[in-house]
Amino acid sequence: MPSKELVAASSRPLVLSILAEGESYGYEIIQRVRQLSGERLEWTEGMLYPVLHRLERQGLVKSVWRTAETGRKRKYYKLVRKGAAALAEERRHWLSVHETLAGLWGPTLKTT
Amino acid sequence: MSELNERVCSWRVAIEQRVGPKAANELEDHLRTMIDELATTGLPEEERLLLASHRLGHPDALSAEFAKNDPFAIWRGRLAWMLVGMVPLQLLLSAIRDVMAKVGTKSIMWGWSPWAAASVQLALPAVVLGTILAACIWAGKATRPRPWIPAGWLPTSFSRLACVLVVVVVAFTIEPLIISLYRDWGVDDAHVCEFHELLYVYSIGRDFLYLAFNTVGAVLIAWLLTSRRAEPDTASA
Repeated sequence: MPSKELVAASSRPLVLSILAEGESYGYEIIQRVRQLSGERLEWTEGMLYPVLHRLERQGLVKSVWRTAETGRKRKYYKLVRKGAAALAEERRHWLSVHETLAGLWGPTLKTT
Repeated sequence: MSELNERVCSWRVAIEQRVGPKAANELEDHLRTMIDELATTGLPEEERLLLASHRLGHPDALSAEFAKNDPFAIWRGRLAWMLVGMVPLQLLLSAIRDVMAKVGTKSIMWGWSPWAAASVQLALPAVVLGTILAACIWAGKATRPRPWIPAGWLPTSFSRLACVLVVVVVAFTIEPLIISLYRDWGVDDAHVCEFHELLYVYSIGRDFLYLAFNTVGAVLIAWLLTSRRAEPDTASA
């Protein structure tokens, strides 16, 4: 299991990338992370919301309250242009780290 | 269902106290969605609620994480530490000033002007306060990488610089201000008895001021430290 710090650091690019696929809300984002990581990334689910709020305060995402199909009010998040630019930047940084490590270790994850 | 509703409501009360109503709305929707989805597992409602609230995280841990986004909470934490530092500093300064008041009085006896006596009175607190501030800045910087670069010794942000300046200005303006008022009133500078009286009246006023300051400070500290946690130190997502 990756360390808490690594999980925390990866939360920003992960959330931005998931929102780049389209508008979403907290629970759905968590499900997507679980599905993408094959349950290898373990999030305390509530911790996602401070991340989303931070992104919103930085002007990278926009949110809107709407009534969901369940009849409850739900807050939906959407990536804005500034967020897309931030994601491109994150992508560059993470890929450069990844490529450096892959150069040493080889590109594939042999065991989990 | 109504029993589950009741349990969710009491969970929400605990959460709302910590993160506020808006974030609590989001978390409640998350919890209820998860409880609904867990229905496929065949678990009873009560266990679904337990599992869902466990997955969301402990309310205290959530509150700590949310507090990182709240500038008021962060500043409240900083203010608490400033006050914690100010009380012993005030006690130290008042002790030094008591000693220096005696030196100032003695120097008047030696035929110095009140200005020279006042300067002598200020010199020691200035040196001590300067040393304390330098030590604080150094201690703050020493925990960071590369502390030995000279530029790194300066306060790095305007807010820190402002804090330092406020402390310095308050500490150093009160006494000369009163001395200069005394001169403006047109009292004979060299009058030893009146300088005595001035110091006496000033020291009573100052003692009251310190008492009030320390009382307010102690109450504030108690309030800050007992209210919800601010500026947590661990990061997690």
